[in-house]
Amino acid sequence: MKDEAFSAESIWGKACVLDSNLSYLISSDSGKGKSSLLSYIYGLRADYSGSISIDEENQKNISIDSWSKLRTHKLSYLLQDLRLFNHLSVWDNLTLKNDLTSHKTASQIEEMLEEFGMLSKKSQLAGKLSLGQQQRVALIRCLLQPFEFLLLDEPFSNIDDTNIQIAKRLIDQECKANNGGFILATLGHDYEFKNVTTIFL
Amino acid sequence: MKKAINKKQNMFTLAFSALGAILGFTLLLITLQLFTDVDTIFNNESDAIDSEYLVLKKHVSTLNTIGLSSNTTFDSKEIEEIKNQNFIKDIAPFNNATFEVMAVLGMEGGKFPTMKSLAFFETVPDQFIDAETKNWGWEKGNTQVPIILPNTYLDAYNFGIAQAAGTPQVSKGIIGAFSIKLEVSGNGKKAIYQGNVINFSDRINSILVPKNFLDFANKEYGTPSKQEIFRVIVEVTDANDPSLKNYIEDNGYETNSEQLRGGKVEQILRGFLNFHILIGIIIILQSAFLFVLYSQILIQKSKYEIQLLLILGYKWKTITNQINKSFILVFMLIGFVSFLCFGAVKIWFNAWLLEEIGMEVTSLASVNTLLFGIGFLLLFLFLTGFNISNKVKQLAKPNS
Repeated sequence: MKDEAFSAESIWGKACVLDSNLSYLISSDSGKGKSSLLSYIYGLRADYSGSISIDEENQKNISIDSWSKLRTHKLSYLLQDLRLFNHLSVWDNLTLKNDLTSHKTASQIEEMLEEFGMLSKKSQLAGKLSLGQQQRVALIRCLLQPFEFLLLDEPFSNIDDTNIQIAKRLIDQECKANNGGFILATLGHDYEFKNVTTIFL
Repeated sequence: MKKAINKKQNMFTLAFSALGAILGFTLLLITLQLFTDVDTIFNNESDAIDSEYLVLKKHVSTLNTIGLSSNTTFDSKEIEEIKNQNFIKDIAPFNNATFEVMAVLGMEGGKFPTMKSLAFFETVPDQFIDAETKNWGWEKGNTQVPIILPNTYLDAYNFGIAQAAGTPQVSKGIIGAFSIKLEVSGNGKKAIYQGNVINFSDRINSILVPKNFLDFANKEYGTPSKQEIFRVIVEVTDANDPSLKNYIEDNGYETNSEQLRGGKVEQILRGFLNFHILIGIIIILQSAFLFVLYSQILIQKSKYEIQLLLILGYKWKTITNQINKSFILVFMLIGFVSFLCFGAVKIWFNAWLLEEIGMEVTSLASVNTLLFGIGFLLLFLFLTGFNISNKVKQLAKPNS
């Protein structure tokens, strides 16, 4: 790991290694490429120069099928625009992910909803929820799989402090359970996370 | 996952594509079946427009009549030469009687006139006879002889003699009731045989008797050495073959040109059917194209959902299979409805053929038709499936 990458200067153009035992905050003003970096890591975009390797394998050589495996076992991604199926219920949105990974039981998922005070919205269409509620559903969804890295793109932008604390607790809990870390993109706010490395863009 | 993608089906476009496919499919099936039926009609059934067999003879001129010209018989060398032509499949001579035959036609009850006429017998191998040859056999000592008459004789009686003499017309079935007395004479011997008409022939314009009877009678009443071949019957692969026509003309042979014209009817009919098949295929291809287009639109409309499933970690194959499943269902429905439509049209067409043309086609669908139909369905499925999996795979690749 080159320490210079984590200095107060921009990470672009430098080399760095992200360790899944640690967690990171990507901090910058808007427009500096936080979301781009996360989608590069998650393999959604490849319009960059340089190289990104996952477990020492160059990302550009990873097959489509292997990406599916990575996305159910090693990487989980909460996109900034949430990406829920608006025409499906909250429950269907969550089970769509959990069916794939069988990571949680139905009652565990219900507990998570309950913690966010969302259990009553279980059968409501995701499209009918407020942005904050959608964000909580999307957050729960990305926790329904084993991971080494949790990619979170401004996960708290629409939720209040109380819910942020709940979310932080859930994230910490899952990171511990999965032996993984998170990479959280934020507009400068550090949300009082402890033991995180900040990457500047 | 089914719920996640399937909400975007556009029923109108789907129904329209399906309708086109059903139309094209039905048309194609009907045409394919007609092809088989035409084959059956032209190749297996006795019919006036059968062109597979031709009777060859030499031109008879006035010089022949007064005995000045060369003969009108075929020798073995000529027959061998005809046989060696590549458009000739088989050849057989007409063996004729070398004795005198007098035929007396009459019926008990006196409603019909008794007719007496000089007659002749010929024989050709069984495979050249275009009529059922049941009861076609004769044994020595038997006074009953089966005979096959030309259809033209029956017509000549029904539409000529019967009209002129005011006697009733007769059907093929009733002819068995007629007794034809055959007075055979030669070599100073005389005998009377009972002729039983067992059938009529379109192809052979001659009175046919079983070969063993003719051989026996020639030996008994005629002069076997006098037996000469005046006509031969040939089986050809294609009566419309120009080289066949040229060969016949160049060698000064004659044939029944009506038969050649029958070949033309078949050729025109086949041309029409070819055209039909072409249209059927064009419609099919167009509807296949519609389906490919439809599947593309569906994927385009479901792009968000498909991409999201991929982000969640669903495999592109799983997604493709899910989309394909709904198409398989649609195609099965198309196939089923098309086969039903085809069956209905075919039943109606068979009835029409029987009623209007008198041709009986009993088969509903041949194996070929069914195989072709299923083959095209699979092609449809393959084309659409291939297109869908390609598109989904494209979505799965990282944007660059």
